[in-house]
Amino acid sequence: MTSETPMVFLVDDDPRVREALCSLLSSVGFRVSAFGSAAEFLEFEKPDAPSCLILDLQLPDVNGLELQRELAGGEAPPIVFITGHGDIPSSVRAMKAGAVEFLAKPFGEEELLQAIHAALALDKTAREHRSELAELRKSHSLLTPREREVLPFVVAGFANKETAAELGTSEITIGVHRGQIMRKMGARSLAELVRMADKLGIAPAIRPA
Amino acid sequence: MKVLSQTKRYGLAAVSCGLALALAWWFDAPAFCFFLAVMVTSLYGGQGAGLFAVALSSLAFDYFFLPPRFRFGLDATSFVRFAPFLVANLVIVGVIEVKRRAEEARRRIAEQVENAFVEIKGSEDRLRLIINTMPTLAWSSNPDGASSFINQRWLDYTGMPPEEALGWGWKVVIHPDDLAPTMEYWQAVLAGNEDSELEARMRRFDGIYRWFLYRVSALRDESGRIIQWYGTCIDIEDRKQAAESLSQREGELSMIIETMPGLVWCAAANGELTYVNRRILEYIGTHDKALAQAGWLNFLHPDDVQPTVHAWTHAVETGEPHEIQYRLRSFDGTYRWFHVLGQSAQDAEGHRTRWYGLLIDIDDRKNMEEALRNTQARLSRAAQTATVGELAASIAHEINQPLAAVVANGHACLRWLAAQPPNLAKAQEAAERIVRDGKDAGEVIQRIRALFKRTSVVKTALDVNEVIREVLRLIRSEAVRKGVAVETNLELDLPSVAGDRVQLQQLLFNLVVNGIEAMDGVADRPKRLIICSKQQAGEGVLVEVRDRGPGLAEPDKVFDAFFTTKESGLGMGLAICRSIVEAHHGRLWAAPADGTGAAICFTLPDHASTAL
Repeated sequence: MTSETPMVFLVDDDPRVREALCSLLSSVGFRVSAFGSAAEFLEFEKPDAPSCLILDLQLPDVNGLELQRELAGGEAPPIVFITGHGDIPSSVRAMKAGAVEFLAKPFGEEELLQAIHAALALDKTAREHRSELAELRKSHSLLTPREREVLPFVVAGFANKETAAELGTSEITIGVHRGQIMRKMGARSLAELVRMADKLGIAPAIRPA
Repeated sequence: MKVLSQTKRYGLAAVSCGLALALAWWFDAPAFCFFLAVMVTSLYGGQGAGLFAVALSSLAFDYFFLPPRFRFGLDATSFVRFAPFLVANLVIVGVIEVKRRAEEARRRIAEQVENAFVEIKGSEDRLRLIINTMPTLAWSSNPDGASSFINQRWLDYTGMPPEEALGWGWKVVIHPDDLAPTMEYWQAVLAGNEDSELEARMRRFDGIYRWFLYRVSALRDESGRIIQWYGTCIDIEDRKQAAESLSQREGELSMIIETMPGLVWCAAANGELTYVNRRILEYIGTHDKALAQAGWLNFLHPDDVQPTVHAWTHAVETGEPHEIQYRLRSFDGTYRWFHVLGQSAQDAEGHRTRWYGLLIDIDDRKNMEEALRNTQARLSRAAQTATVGELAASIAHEINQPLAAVVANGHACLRWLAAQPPNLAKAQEAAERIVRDGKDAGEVIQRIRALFKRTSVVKTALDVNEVIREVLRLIRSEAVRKGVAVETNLELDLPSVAGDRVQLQQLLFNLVVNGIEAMDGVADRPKRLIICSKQQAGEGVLVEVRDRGPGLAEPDKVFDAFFTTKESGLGMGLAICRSIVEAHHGRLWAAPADGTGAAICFTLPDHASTAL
């Protein structure tokens, strides 16, 4: 399932709300999948498309905040919380945990659509970010173990000679590794490589005191 | 006159004839001697002996004195003498016999008269004895009224000798105060009014006066003329005293009833009011006749007349004690509450004779009760409001949920209409959902208003299961928020109960909220709240609310006001529950649930039994 049509997931235990939001969102042109509980949502196989999750704070099985916590760190879509009675502590916790919006029922169309658009935009960025990172990881995986050892020195701005001294090899060998790294990673400049390393979470080597 | 035996009589005849013969021998007129003998014999010996003497005399006269002498036989001359002699003798015998018989008859009659006289004398003595010894003073008077006889009792009582008492002498023993009435009475009797009675005091021999009852009746001859008056005096002193002490006691009792600071009434067996004491009259500000004219019901508060008449009619019909409360109008037009008690009195055969009753002024108590009830109601409302307030979020959720759906559907509807081309089917669906969810929201608001509403208790036939479901709809969100799974186990076809919908909702609301809150601290096991309803033999419907909380340490105390195990809360919830259940004639109790947790149970009598 690969389609760029944005996908909206809806989890609310009240069928009336589910029906109404499904109708509204489909009229706007979203694809909507609605679930009555967190478990149903978790079981569902999500398509690879920009998406967001409209999540009711009160759910019969797992409550909304718990589901948010469970999803955090994964590739879960951004969350727009909706609630029948928003209390301040819950909304603070939700927002801190990265929710896009916290809407109190009943909410207007504009608020909801704005939140959904924001969430989708967020998801789009996240998705792009994720795919870029995936590319980098793929490139990184092509490096030989020795080249991976060399990379931190390169991005830390060590001269080949200094790196060779640190790793106990020749300057020429380091030069070859460096060239290979630049090629395999697809970096056109050192600056680009530095950004890539940063994205991959590779810390630059530390110059000895 | 002696009666002689046969032999003696004939002997008498022979002897008299012998004597006559002897006398005749000496006298010139022998015939007379024989006449004498015959006469004597006839007189004393009777007819037979007389005839025998005639025969003997004739023979002797012929033999001794007629020629031929000393021979029986008669010649012509002697026959002329003999014939008159015989005839004269026979005449003598005949005359004497007739005389004797007459004498005999007279004697027998005299004897009979004598006997009768003796007999009469005896019976008169007996009568006198009776009259003198009978335990009554008796007398008789001449037609003019003067006393002609006075019995011994009377004489013994007064100590008067009869000669003083007879005539008009008896007047001296009559009490001076009673003398005039006595004489009037006596005059009235003499004038023909015989049937009347008189009570008068009469002096005893020792000077003490005692009361007597005088009665008189007349003895009349065939022509109706009064021959004699007969009278009795009956000692009624003891009776009179008893009656007097009775009337005195009655007077005292009546005084007590009239003056005691209580309201007392009395009614006939048929329920008709016969007496009210002075206090009642003073209270209602009227007098006997006015009350009787107006009727006591007119003094009741109009609202109380119907139930009072009903209760009183029932009591009069069945004889059961009468008890009711009503408002009675006082002299100044204000009404006060009275507690009315009535008890029937019965005679020896068990027939109701009268009703006796009391009115007890309970107005102050009643007002206090009312105030207390109002306070309780206000307190109950306050606590109820507090409970509802605690659940404001949950309730808001219940309203916001359908509202959110309505708003979203509204937008959707507009969008489907604005689409190119418009999607009318989808728009219509959305519009229909708006209507449906809008109604939902309205119903939620109705339910909440009912919870807050202050209404008088109206009992109708209710399905307990329906009430349970209504309450659960309101609380569902709260339960979800608290992570409590609410389970129901409702028996189908429960009998309906007589109850006030709002109060029963409040009751269940309290119990369910209580159960949910009881499980706040539970982390080691699933939070479950189980509501069961079932039919309970003899007690109507049983409802049980069971939680899996820590249980109840003091199951007996939980229904007391201000008893609470929660840090926040008034501790009024279960106390209110109890007052609601009691108002519905049910029972409420706490039972430790099996395993962990607690169970609160209550019963409500079914509608059929409470309607009776």
